[in-house]
Amino acid sequence: MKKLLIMIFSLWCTLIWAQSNQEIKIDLKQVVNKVSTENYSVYQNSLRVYQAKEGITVARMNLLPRLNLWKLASAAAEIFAGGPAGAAGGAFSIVEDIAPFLVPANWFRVSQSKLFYQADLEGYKALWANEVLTAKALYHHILLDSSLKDHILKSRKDLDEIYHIVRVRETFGGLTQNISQEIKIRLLALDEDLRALEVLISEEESILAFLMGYPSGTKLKVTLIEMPDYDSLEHLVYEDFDFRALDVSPEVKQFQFFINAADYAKKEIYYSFLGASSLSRGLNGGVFDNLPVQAGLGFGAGASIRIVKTQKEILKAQKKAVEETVRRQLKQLINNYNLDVDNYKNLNERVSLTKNRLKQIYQRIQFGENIDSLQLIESSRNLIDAETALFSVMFRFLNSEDKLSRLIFFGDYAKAKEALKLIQKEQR
Amino acid sequence: MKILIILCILCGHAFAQSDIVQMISDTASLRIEAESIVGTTPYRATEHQIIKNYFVRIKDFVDQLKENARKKRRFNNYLESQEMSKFCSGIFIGVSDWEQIKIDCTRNRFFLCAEDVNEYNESKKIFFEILSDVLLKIFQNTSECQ
Repeated sequence: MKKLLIMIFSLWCTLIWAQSNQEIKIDLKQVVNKVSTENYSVYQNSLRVYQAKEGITVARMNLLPRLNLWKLASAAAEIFAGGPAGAAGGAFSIVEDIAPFLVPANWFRVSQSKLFYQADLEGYKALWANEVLTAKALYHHILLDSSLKDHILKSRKDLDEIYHIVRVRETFGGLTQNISQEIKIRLLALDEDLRALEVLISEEESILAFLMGYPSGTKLKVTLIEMPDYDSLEHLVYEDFDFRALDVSPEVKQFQFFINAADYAKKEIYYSFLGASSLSRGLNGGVFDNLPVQAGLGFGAGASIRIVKTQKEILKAQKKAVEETVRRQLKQLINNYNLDVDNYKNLNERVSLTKNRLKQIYQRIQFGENIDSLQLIESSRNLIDAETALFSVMFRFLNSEDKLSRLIFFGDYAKAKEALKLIQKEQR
Repeated sequence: MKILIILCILCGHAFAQSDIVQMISDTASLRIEAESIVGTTPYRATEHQIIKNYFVRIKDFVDQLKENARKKRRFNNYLESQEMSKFCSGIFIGVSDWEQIKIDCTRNRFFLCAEDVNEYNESKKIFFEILSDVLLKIFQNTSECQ
């Protein structure tokens, strides 16, 4: 019985251990879906959007009468005591509570909260897209670094074979002693590169797991993706993308909503003689919270209006700055993309030439020729550099395409609305 | 007094009708502008804006009618007195033109026009919900409305 219990316990422990060390195989589609629903920042932001949505209901419902016992009591006291204005004075003093819809500022706050909700939605879209972009870029980097690792492993294996041949030749006096030493140094350097790459991949996987909302310690295994046909890639033209990038940019749209909300802030001052609103503008409303709106039309109204107008101008300037930033990013991206298109063919040729060169040296060593050690090291390094550059360009294409898709909200990024709906469904 | 009230009602009715007529005529002129640039690729900011103006207007048009029950009723009343084929060819861009615009909007695998272009079919579907049963039947049997 005791033995059986120990066996069951050890089996259970093994199962738990196996589960905790289990690798999760992921693909790009899963990355987009998980970031959309599980990412901590995206989730927080979706809750903010939800708050803003509820903020509209709060503002709208606050137009209806509300019960404030102390105010009622003080109004009643005023009525019965026959104060300065008697019954009428008492009734007017509680008009903001029993008939808030008579205060125009409250209506403007409802309109503002609708605009702030729209602005929040755009903010959510921007954040979601940035998180998806980062996660996808990490995925591409893991693939790139894994390819580099495989490539270095292969180079190391080739160099190791040469090392053994050279060692034999040196032992029998065919070659001078320094070649094997130089190869050994190169082998050690490659080992260092391999270890550094392993650490880098592990770090990238850990960040990706975090972005996807997995608990720390989760091991991810990325699946390979279909690479584009690089030979068919063409130059991009900036003017083709300019309109769309600005038209869909959530950052630009967000500022437009703030600018529209500024008009309501101005109206609040115009109608302040009918009372001021005590309703909160919500998180995004902070832009307007410091504007001086008095409860009642006073001599300061003119200056207040000028302040609101200036605030609107500030927002317009900020919007213009965002537009120019989008344009600059787009231009830079297209320039780099076109540069890579041109460089790709060069790099391909460079790889094939350096490969041939190294192959010739290896063959000469195998035939027993006395090779200059520096020449061998240089050729080996050249091949690794050329292949690394080619891999980097290949993956940079993927990242550039993805960044472009993010800027114009195309492909995976067109799913922003669905992503939000998915989270809101879960919230309910 | 009665005459005054009747006059007021008539004026209100005429004003409401003119509102619908204005909406239709504005949309029609934007459609003509959008159709005139079909095939003039590559699209630059001006062409993109013309295309966007039309598709946004169509979307706003159906959204306004969907959200406002009174407007919807007035619109149905107005449409009953109109020829459906004339109305549809006036405000709706032809399917072949729409397909061509979508092709022209795609360069280097990327869709580069306003997103509203892709939402055109959805706007048309909402339009079905706006129409009364009688008008919907006529709408579905009119080739210009497809």
